This record gives sequence, C-alpha cells and structure tokens, in this order.
Amino acid sequence: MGFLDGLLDSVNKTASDIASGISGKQEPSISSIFDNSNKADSCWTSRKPLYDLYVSLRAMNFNVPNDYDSFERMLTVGEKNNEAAAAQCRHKIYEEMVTKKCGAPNTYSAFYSVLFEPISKTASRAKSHYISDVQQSKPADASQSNQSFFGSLSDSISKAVDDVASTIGDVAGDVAKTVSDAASVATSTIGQWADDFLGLIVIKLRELVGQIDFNQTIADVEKVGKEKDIDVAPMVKFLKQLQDFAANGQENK
Amino acid sequence: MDKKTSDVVFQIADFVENDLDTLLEIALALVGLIPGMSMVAKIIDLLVKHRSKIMLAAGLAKKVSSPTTAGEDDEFANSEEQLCLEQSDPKELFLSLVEDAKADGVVTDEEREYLIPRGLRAGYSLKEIEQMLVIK
Repeated sequence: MGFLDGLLDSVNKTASDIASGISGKQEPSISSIFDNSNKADSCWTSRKPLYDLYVSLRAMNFNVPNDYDSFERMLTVGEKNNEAAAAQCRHKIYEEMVTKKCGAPNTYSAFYSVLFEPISKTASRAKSHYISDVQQSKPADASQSNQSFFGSLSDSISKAVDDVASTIGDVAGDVAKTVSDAASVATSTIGQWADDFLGLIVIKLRELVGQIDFNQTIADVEKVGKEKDIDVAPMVKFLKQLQDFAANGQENK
Repeated sequence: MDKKTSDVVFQIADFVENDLDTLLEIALALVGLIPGMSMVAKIIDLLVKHRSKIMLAAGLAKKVSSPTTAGEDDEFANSEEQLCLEQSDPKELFLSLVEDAKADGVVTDEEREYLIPRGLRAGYSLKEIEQMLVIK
C-alpha cells in the first residue's frame, strides 16, 4: 500500500477517532501550528513547523512514514525525486485535513506558507522554523488582500514574467502551442491564468458599470464638487474612462 | 490576442494606474450625496483589492500583444507581488479564480458560465466546480 493510499485509508477513520487520538497528548495541535499569534518565542521559532505537523499526524494515527526524514522528503523532493508527486502529496494532506476538520487553515496557500518555502519553480523545502506575525507583517496596503494568493517567493516572479513574455512572444500569443516541456507548461499556465483572470475582472466590471448612469453621475459629481469645494477632477476623468469601457462592452456584445 | 481584447486589457491597466486610493477617498466623500456613487465606490474597491494581480496579469497580456516592447513595461510586473509557483498548478490557479469570483460574496450566472469550462480544463469535475462556487 502506497503512502497516499495509506493516508486516504487513515483519514477515512471517523472524526471522533481522530479527536480521541489527540486527546490528552502533549503533541502540538494542528491548529496551533497554523495559529500565527504566538510564534515569537524561541520555543516556536526553533522548530520546523512540518515536524510538528508530522508529530500531530502520527498522534492522530495518520499513516505517515515511520521517521520524520522520510515524511519531509516525501513532501518536498518526492519519491524518486518526483517534485510533482511531492506537490500532490502536499495537496492531498491538506485536503484531507480540511475534510476531517483537523484544524487546517482556510486556504492551501496558508497551509503551504507556514510549512514550506519554494526553492525553485517546482521544488519546495520545509521551513526551518516558524515565522511570527511580527516577522511576517508588512506595511499595510490595499494589495495585502491578495497575499493569500501571492506567496513570498523573493526571486521568482520577475523571472517568471520574463519567461512568460519570451515564451509567449515567440508564438505571438498562441500560448498553448508553446507547451513542450515542464518549464513552458509552467509559464504558459501562468499566461493562461492571466487571460482567465482578466476575463473575470472584465465580467465583474461590466456587471457594475452596467448599473451606472454615467452622464447623470458625472454631472452630479461636478456639481457637488463645486458646492463642497472638493477636487473631483480625478473622479470625473475616471468616470469617463469607465463610461468608455461600458460603451466598448456594449459594442462587443 | 485580438485588438479588442488588448484594448480592454489596456483600459483595465489604465484604471489601476489611476490613483485608486485618492479616487476611493473622493468616492467615499460623495457617497450619500450622489446616487450612483456607491456603485463607483464598489468598482474602485474591486480594483484596489485586485490591484496587484491586475497589474501582473495586464503586464503579461501586454507583453503578449506587444512582444517587441518586452522590457519596456516592467512597471506592470510588480516585483513586490511574487507569484507563488505552487500556483503554477492549473488547479491552484483555477482555485484562485474561484476565490476572486467569490470575493464580493456573489457568484453571478455569467461568472459561473465563465468559470466552469476553465475548471474542467484544469481537471476538476463539474460536481467539484459546483461545490467550489457555493458561497458558504
């Protein structure tokens, strides 16, 4: 029985079995591993979060390898150095933890970011210690809402963008035809995501602009701006852009 | 990418290049005074929430449409936002689309129709996609 089969078998145990498995034990609870609020002290920062997860999973009778090194290897470099298989294992564990309500975070991205860090386009390694809220915090800005999606690869995206540009540029936008090896699969996937994401934003914008009477709104904004002595010029310019966008949308329909 | 599509991409990029924070302040100052302003505020809020992703996606799309200018428009590729390469998995990227669609609390029929074929293409079953699109 392979690891994944064993894992599936073990998580098919009832939730109560799992709960009873962890009751009264000293191992860290899974939720505490992903709770970032108290990780500043050395007791947390000196351990691998993945190790704590391993201990917890063992305590809950998940069918994990007998030693931690094998467990980490399985989730990072994969069996027979198959990084795709390692990624599949990570997803599988996360999904089953969610299914069994074992205290997994709400998103895979959060799960990944606590336990792993990327070292190349396809490979990850276990984080060497917890990162506290203090260490993780960044100046607040509106783009933070995207942080759950965008990870923290310090050196990859500029290269990824360039790779996508060169790969896609070679075929003048026909991204699919560029897929000939693993690297181009990755970059074309990102290119496809870009197209899909923009399409979704267009749908959302059109839905919203369709509910605005632009001529009336622009007139109202200019009037109120004068009355209240508010500089509304940027808003008027923006509304006119949106109006053009809405008009183009009608033409394209 | 055809011209109409690239025009739309450039328009969206223009929206994002606007000073969205200033626009949002003005919109909030005018909400309540002007009937249509709450919808405008929603649009600005949408752009603010997705600003970094829009810049990245528009940057990629722009390079696709004008490959000869690659390198001249790197302002779109916000180096502060680094794409987690775990997300290079088509399933992960699709999940991010689903999250974006659900971010405003509603998945419209049009969004659903848009997402389902993309989810199938990513390898999810129709049943799985339907479950993902449910807002709990």
